[in-house]
Amino acid sequence: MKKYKGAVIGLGKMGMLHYAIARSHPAVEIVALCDTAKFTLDLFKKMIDVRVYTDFQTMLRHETLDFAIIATPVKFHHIMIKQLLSQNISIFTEKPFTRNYAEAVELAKLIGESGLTGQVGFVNRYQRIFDKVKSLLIKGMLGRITGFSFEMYGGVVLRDLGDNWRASKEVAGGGCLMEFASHSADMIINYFGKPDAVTEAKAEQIFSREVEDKVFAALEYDNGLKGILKTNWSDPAYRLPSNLIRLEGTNGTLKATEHQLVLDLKSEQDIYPAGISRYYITDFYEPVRIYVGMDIFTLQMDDFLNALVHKTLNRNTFQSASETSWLIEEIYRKAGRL
Amino acid sequence: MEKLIFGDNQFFGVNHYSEEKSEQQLKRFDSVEKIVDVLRIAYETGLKGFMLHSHPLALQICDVIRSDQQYWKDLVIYPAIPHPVKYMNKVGEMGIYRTVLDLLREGKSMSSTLGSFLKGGLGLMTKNPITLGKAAIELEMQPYHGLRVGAIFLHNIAIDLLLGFGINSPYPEIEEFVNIKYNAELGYITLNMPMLVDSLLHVGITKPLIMSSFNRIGYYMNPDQETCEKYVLEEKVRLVAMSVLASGAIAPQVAADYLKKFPLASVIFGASSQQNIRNTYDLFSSF
Repeated sequence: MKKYKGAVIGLGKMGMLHYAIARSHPAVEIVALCDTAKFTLDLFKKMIDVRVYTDFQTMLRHETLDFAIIATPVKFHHIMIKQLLSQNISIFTEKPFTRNYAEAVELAKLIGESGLTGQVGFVNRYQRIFDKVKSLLIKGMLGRITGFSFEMYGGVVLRDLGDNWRASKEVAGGGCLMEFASHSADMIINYFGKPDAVTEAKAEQIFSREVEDKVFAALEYDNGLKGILKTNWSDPAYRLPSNLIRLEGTNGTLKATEHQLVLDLKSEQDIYPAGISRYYITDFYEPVRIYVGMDIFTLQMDDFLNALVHKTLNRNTFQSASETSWLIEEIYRKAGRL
Repeated sequence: MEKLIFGDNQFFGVNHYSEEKSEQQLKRFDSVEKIVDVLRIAYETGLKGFMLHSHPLALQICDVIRSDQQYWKDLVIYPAIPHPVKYMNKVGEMGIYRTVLDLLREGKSMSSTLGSFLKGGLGLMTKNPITLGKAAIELEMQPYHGLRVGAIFLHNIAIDLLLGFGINSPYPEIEEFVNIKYNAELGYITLNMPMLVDSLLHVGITKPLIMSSFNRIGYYMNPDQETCEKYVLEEKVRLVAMSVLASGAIAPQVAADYLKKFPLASVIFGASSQQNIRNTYDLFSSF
C-alpha cells in the first residue's frame, strides 16, 4: 500500500500534537521535521527515525513530499503555502489561515486549480456538539434562524507578553480575534456563510501592547438574520478556551457549548420534543483511533489525511477559510484596527 | 495498591462534562483549607489512597499532610505528573528550549539531595533525552517529599504524545529510576490503553500499571470499548479504572454493576460532598 510522505513544519505545542496524530495514521509516513529550534530537533532526532531541518528551503530541496503540516506563526503561512503548492504538495495549516484576506483568496485560487488537498485547522467544526448543531440547522429544527451569538472566552493572555510572538501584530497577525476567536468567525461562516455587513465592531487592549484582547462585532445578513461575535482572551475565570453558541429561530432557541446542548422548541421536530431538552457530550462521544490532547484533533487530521488519500472533500477547505479571513478583516476594518 | 483511590479533578476545576460545573468547583475550592476539609471526609470515610496532580496547590496540600503525620498515617499518595497546564502554557509561550532552561533554573535552586539530573545541564539533556525525563520527574516530585507514595503516574498529555511519536524505548530505564529513587512503581495515564499496552510490550514491559477511562458507556475508551474490555479480561494490563462515572453521566450504582465484571487493579473516583463520597465508597467497596 502506498504511504503518503509528509513533513511537519513548526514543532511548538500544535506542531507536536499534529505530528503525534499524523504519524500514527496507517496510510502516511512523516519523513521530515522542520523548525528553527535546533534543540527541539536534536531531541526528536535522538528518539525517532526522522530527518530534521532547521531551514524550510533546504528541506524542500532534499525531500519528496505528498503533504506538509504547517504549525508556524501566521506570518510564514502565505509564503510557505505558495511554495508548497508550486511543488504539488498538499497542505494542512494551523489557523489562522493568513494575515489578511488578499493572501487567503490568492491561496484558495491557487489550490483550486491544482487538485491538491488543502485544510485549515478550524478544529471546532469537529466538536461533536457543534457538528450536531449544524445538522439541526440543515434539517430546519429551529425553523428560520433570526438571531445568533457566538462567544469565546479564555485565560490565554493574562499579562503583557513582552517579546513573545503572540504579542506581535506583525508575526501573529492580530490578537484575540485573529489568534483565538478566528474559531468563532469560522463557525459563523460554517453555519450561515458570509454576512452581508459588519454593522458595528469594537476592539480593546487589556494587557497587550500591540494586539487586541477583547472584541465585539455585530453582523447582518440581507435575509434579515442578525448576530454578534464576542470574545475575550484575558479572562482568568476560564481554564480552557470556552465557546458559547446561542441561536434563535422561528421554532425555538438553542444553546450550545463543547459539552452541552439545550434545545427549547415550540413544536416537536423529528426525535426532539417540544419544550426544553438537554443533551451532553457523553450522548455524542465516539471513540477515535488515537486520542492526543482532544479527540477533535484526530477527527480533524484524519479528515485531511483521508481526503488526501481517497481524493474526497474535507470540511475546512482553503475556500471556506478565505471566507473566514474576509470576516475577520471586515471586523478589524470596522473596529478601526486596519 | 489501594483498591479505591480518591481523585482530585473536582478540586482543580477539571470537569470533562460541563464547564459550568468546572467553574462552580473552582469557586468552591478556592483555598487549600477547603480542599483539605474534603480530603479529611474522604479519609475518614475509608479512602486511604489519594491521587494528587502536581498542581501549584499540591505543595501546600502536602505541607498540611506533612504537618500532621499521625492523623494521616495510613494515607498513600498517588502523584500524577507533570502538571499539563503549567508545561503546555510554558511550551506554548516560550518553546521547548526555554521551558527546559526554566526547569534547570528551578532545579539548581533545589537542595543537593534532590534534583541530581537537573544539575546535569542542557548538554546532558540533548546527549541523552532520557535525562530530560528524569529531571522533569525530579522537579515534579519535589512537593511530595516525605510522604508515602504508592505509585507515580505519568500524565496522559505526555504519555499519549510519546505514543503518537512512537517513543517507548525510555520506559524501562524510567521505571527503574522511579523504583530506585522513590521506592514506588511507575504508572501510566493514557486515553489509548490497548495501544499503550502493545507499545510497552515491545520494550519488554508486561502487565503495566495503567490508569485509563473505563465505564459502562465507553466514554473516552479508545479505540473502542470492546478492545479495552478485552485487554482487561485477558489481564494484559493492571488497570486503574478512571472516568468510571463519566464525569457524572453514570449513576454510581450503574457504574458499580459494570465495573464488578472486570479484574481491576483499582478504581479512582472523585466527589466533593460527604454524601456522594460515602455513597460511592459504599457501592464501590462492596466488590
